Amino acid sequence: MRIVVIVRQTPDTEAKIKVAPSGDTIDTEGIKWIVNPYDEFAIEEAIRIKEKLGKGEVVLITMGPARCIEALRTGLAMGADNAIHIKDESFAFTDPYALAKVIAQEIKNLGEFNLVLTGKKMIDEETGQVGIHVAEELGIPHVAIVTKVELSSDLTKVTCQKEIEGGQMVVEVPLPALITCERGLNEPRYASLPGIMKAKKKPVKEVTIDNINLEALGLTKEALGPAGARFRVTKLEVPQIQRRLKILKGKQQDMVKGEEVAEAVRELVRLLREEAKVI
Amino acid sequence: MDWVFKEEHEIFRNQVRQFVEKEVTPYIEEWETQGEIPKEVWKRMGELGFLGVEYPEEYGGSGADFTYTLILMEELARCGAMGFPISVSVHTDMASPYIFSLGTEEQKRKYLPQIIKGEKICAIAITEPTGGSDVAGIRTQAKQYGNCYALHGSKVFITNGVKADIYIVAARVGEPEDQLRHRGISIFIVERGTPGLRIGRKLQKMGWLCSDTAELFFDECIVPKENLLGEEGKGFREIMRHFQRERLVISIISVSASQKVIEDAITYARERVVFNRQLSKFQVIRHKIADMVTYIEAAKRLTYHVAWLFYKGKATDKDVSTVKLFTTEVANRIAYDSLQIYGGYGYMREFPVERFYRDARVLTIGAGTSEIMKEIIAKRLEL
Repeated sequence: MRIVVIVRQTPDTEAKIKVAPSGDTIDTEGIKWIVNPYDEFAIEEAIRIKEKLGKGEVVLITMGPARCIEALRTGLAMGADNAIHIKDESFAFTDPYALAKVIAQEIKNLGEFNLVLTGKKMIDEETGQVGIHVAEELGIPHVAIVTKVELSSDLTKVTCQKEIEGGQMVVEVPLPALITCERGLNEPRYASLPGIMKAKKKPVKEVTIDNINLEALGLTKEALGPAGARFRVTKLEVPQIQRRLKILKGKQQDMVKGEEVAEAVRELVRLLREEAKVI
Repeated sequence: MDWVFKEEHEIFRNQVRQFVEKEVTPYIEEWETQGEIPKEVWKRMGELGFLGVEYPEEYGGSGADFTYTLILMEELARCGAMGFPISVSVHTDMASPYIFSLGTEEQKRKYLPQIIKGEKICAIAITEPTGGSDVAGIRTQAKQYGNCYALHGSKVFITNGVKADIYIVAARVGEPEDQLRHRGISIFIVERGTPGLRIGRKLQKMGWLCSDTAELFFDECIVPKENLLGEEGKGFREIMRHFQRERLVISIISVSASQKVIEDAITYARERVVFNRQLSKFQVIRHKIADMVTYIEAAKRLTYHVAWLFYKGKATDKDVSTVKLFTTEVANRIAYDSLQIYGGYGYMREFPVERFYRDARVLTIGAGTSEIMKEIIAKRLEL
């Protein structure tokens, strides 16, 4: 049983996000990076399946800049067996389309695999596309946003549970299949210190841009970087919360009284309509 | 020291931080009230490899180095009560190292795996009612009878003392000599339940509430000869040597706990509004915070420097004493000044700074007082 887990790295949920001066990306200076939390569910599930079967191999795969090795090592420290790092600094900007194509190719290069797991989405740009697109490229069935995974005893099928409006949906697919993982699937373990020490010695295969047969994938080098992305972020904005307070006061004293009330109400309605734009 | 941190260090820091946030901080109030850390928490830390960081894998350890111990202690110290990291470090860095560095292969095989798993808790018993810093003056006697020693005497302020399973005890073999008082001091492993060992009451303290502290009484406490650690009579030098790690770890905890307190105080100063302005906008507060941050940064850099020397096996007594002196005094200054920022709220039990104020006080006393640190420094300067 070989289980492949697509892992990616995102800024820490507690990091203070600042928009870069260019206005279309974030300032990554001093940011702490973590394993995408939904991918952690995928890693945990893969390790649990392997532990339950008492055999098998958990392979992690990521595509991204050098810093992503920390995400891979975290997964290896949790208990995965080995990892593939498709590595280039420009991959921080690769769009989901190209990511899926390249990752799928690397999975194919592994030869045999039975199950592919990944998070339902990245918590940064939240496109949620890579997982299902990889399934498409591999020509295997996928089940998205899953909260329970159960393999059949003969390891030919997998039964997945999805949370839907007002109930649960149970889906059965033949293996190999791809599953994207939702919160609630499991509680990811911490990497223990012995696990971290062992992870240092586990193999991580590096794949560089030159090792990828881009032509076969219908891609170009540029398509993997910021210039060639199929979608482009044009603007990022931090939501501004402005506290505005306006108090209507009476002419003689603070309290609006008597004849002034009618006029104050008209003014209040006008402000609500024209300035606050709530009515 | 941060220049040596690599990705695996960051992974470890993240994991410990998550453990502290999810499995320690939410229960601190409970443990402080109960006056102890539950057994299961020790076992959980054992599972995660926190109790055998530097011990070899053959005993169940992780075979990591001091940089990981430093990170572990920094992160545990952020939990909100200093009693917790102190209790853990007494087990991992103050008591069990005697078994690892002085023990025979049999002793190590017998005790270390249980210690590393968190199944057995360790305490170190040196201090006596008549003195702690004056190690050469201890009075507990160990008289040899055939294959055994009989221990007589008492110990006090023993961290983990109430709940411990394994006590590392310093006692004197033979009568003290006037000129060579340190001669004869020996170190023994005394297991809980040994006849003649009586564990006294749980002592009521000002701070460090979740860490249990006891008095121990030895009355004809018979310890087999194979429980002697190292050579008979050579204990004094070993105790002095082991103090380095103990004092350095206390320094690490002091700095990191101070760091957490100042982070919280800064958040409070930003949120608190007085006279229609944020507290953090008043120069008197801004400058107080700037001062505190500067002191903590200086303390941290000194700690990292000495930790690096220690890691390289080059730290001297003077290095360790300066860092212990400075960091614990700084922690007390931070306790006083950050509580001031909170005003009346800081005096209330529901604010963690109130606990820190109580917890910090003993830092300049335990593991060698500030006065002893100054004496060591002065001695090394040949004044």
